[in-house]
Amino acid sequence: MKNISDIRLNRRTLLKGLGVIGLASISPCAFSLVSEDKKPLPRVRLKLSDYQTFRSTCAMECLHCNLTAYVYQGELKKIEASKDFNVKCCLRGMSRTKWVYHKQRVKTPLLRVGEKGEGKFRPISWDEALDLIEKNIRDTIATHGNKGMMLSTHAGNMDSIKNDMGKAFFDYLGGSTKQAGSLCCSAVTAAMMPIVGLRYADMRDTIADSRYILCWGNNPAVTMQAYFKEYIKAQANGARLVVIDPRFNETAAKADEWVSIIPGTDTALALGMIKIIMDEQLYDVDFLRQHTGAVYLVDAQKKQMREKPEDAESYLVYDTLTQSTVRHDAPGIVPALTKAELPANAEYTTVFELIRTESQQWDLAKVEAETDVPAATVLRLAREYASSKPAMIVQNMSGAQRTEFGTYVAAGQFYLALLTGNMGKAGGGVCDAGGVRQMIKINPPLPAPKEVQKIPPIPVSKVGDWIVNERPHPINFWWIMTMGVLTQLPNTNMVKKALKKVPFVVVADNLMTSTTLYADLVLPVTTIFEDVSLMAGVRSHYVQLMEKAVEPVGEAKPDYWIFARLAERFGFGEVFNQPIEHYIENCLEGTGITIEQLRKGPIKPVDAPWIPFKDGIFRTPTRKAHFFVEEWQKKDFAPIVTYMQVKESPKGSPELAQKYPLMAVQRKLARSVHSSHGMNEWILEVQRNQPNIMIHPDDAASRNIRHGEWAIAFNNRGEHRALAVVTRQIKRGVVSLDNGWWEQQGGSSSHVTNDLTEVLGTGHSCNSTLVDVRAEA
Amino acid sequence: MVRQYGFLVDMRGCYGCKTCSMACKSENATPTGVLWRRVREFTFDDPNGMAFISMSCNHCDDPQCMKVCPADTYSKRPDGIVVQDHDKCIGCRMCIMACPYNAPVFDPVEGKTSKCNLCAERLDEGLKPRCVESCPAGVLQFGDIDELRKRYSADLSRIETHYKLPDHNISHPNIVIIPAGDKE
Repeated sequence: MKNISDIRLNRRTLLKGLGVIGLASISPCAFSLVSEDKKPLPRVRLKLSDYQTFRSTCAMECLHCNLTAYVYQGELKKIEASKDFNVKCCLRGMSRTKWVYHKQRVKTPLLRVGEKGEGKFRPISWDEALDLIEKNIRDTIATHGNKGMMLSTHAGNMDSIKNDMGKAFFDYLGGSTKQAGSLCCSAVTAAMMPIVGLRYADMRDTIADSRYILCWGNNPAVTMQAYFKEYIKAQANGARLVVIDPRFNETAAKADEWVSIIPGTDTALALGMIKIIMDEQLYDVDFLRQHTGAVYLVDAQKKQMREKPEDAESYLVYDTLTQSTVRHDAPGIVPALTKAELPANAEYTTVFELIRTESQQWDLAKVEAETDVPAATVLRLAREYASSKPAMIVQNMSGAQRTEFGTYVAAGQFYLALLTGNMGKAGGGVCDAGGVRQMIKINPPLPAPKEVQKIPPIPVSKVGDWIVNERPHPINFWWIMTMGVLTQLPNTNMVKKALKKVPFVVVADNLMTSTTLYADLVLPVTTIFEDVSLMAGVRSHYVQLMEKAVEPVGEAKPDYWIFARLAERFGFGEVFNQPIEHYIENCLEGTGITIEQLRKGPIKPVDAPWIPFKDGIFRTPTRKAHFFVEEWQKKDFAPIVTYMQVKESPKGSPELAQKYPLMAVQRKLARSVHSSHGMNEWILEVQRNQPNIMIHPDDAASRNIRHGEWAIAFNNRGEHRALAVVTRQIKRGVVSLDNGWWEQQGGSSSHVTNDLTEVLGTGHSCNSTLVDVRAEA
Repeated sequence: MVRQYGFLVDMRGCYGCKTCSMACKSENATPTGVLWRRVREFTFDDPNGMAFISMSCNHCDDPQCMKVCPADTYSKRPDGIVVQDHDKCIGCRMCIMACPYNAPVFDPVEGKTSKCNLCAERLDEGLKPRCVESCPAGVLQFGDIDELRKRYSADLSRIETHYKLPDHNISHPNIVIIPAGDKE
């Protein structure tokens, strides 16, 4: 055996001028590296003490795992999960070394020279770029007004500074057109805010305590990857894990049961389960009386009754002790829940009874007919869920709510958790997405300007369509940051038209992404290890300092640097050009957390485990959970969860389904977060490097589609090419398409996805999409 | 004193995230196309199932690579780790053909073969192998193979039949696999 320590004696000398790789000493299999004169040089491994280490966090829309960067002589060598953090990062986090030094890194500002989409640019200086931007902003305001400027930001970087600075910059200019709603979870917001009074509240700290976990339309093995160990722990403790999804996903492979369902029918299933829970009295009477608005009285006009119309919190209930109507928060009352507890001739009823009426029509046979979930399964699901305590529904911004009436899907899940008294208890409740903002208040980095014009926004799923059709007004200048509009917005071909139509499109990004191909000006921005920032967002349970580990590649600048330079040109420089620490301190003011503390490591601002709505205390003005949602009623929708057939489905549009009979659902992959990481060479090597389309053998056979061969999903909006995976792991009549592939890789499934706006939450309806699939000729 | 190091893969908790594979790649800076640790994926339609086995070199008792290597590049350390002297490799790929587990990987650019050395240098410094350290679910473990085998009795024959793995009698690999279906 070769004696490694003999070689190690000379490693200090060897380090000088030799290639180094990230390890601890000389390798017994000393690598070769070809030098400039073509002579191979031996490679030397680094000891841990040779590195400088810095911390940052993955900043796109995932779980914001803390990362440690290992830097040697100014170069980022490797990334590891931070040892003192509660979860370990995934392969995407580690692959960020390759992101920083990616061959498609944008290194200088680039001005378009070819046609939009061609990807031909010439480098220009920052001064020229800023001049151009200033001129275009001034021209746009002069010719179109502030509404002629559009700002698109999203989930590509969710740190606490950059997107906020972007929004504030345009507000300081007087305002701009913005996107309304979000692609990921507007429906959850529209359900969760009125029902429990808080968004981004999650149960991830107590997953392991659960006895029954219902993953509904989502796949935590991929989308909550770092925390999936908690699910396994729960199972080891005896919990039952059930997955409801049209696709047998990675979580289903670990689950005790997979319940396959027709996309878009989840609310029918929820109502069917609610009916059983009500019929069999499996609900938690005490919880409903004490902590919810199920007992509020509703009059014959279906309006919630109040003691004083001007007092929004003065909901009336019927006290069974005094047999009179009183305020819901009167002391010592026992409010009536069911009709049986109300006076026989009462002209009012309770919210609980409205839910009963709505769910009564959903008997097992009807649920089975609508959802394709066998009646016996529906019955068992309802009984198991209601009788296993604590039971958790994992919502996690599910694909089920990314449908035309997704708000009712999300709300139906809250109904189930509330009816069974599971909310506010360890191991129970609804696990949404969540971060420190449910625990403490984080301020914006800078104060809002005094006067901002009110400009109607564009629903996010309609950005392409509305810009092309100049709704509600023409857009002359479009600033895109932290968002891959081309791969993520639905109806890609319409988005391409929009990008071509807008005269001046600025894209600030790290890499030559799909969107940059359609830019007029590309601005190079820093990655997470190249600037200082703060993560105190909606996805991380920890406040984290993002340290600068290496100098930016090329002339890349932080987004906030760009806005500071522009602000100087428009006369409000001092608001934006302070040192970054100033803005971090602004964010942290009042939290008791300091930058100095954060330099030592991430801070969880509350004691673990975090349990939102602990002991049934909700964040609504009444501190009670509300089933009856007046916001929906104001929009002329049912105030109680109701099932509505999605339009783009075989039942909802039989004629369209003649042409496009297959329902397409979108799938998230372990290789990317949306389109971030999508072209990292390490990811392509370790994970998948080609898109898949999952199709049932029966659907494949009639179309001559063969496993492993190319197929094309298409509809009137566009086409998406992918390798066919012919499998019974997808429901018959449904195909699963991959999200996040770049245009340079053939394009994402957004080419075919529906751009309909989810009706109650202004969100995405990508999973209400019809396609057909053909084998590639 | 460690007689023989080995790996343990608990398939019950593995959900195929491939972080171990990336950690290995990142740690060893292996060239494009050279993955020392790979995650084998199994999908079943009837009944539906998915399973994953993370595997690199199994540091066999009877290393076939060592047996066939004409350049004498392989050796077995006292702790059982099979290491390669990369300088000596002539790129003949005999080891790849001989290894039942496809552990050695050929890099056509360099014209040589390399493989997992169980992060021997890290072990020498008191660190864990990077793959083991990186696993988000803790399903990948390593240690003295006798200890690992004591903790989990693994019937390799049954696993080999189910997942179509090579017969362990060829090289006597030092790996414990806990199959996915077992609720031990």
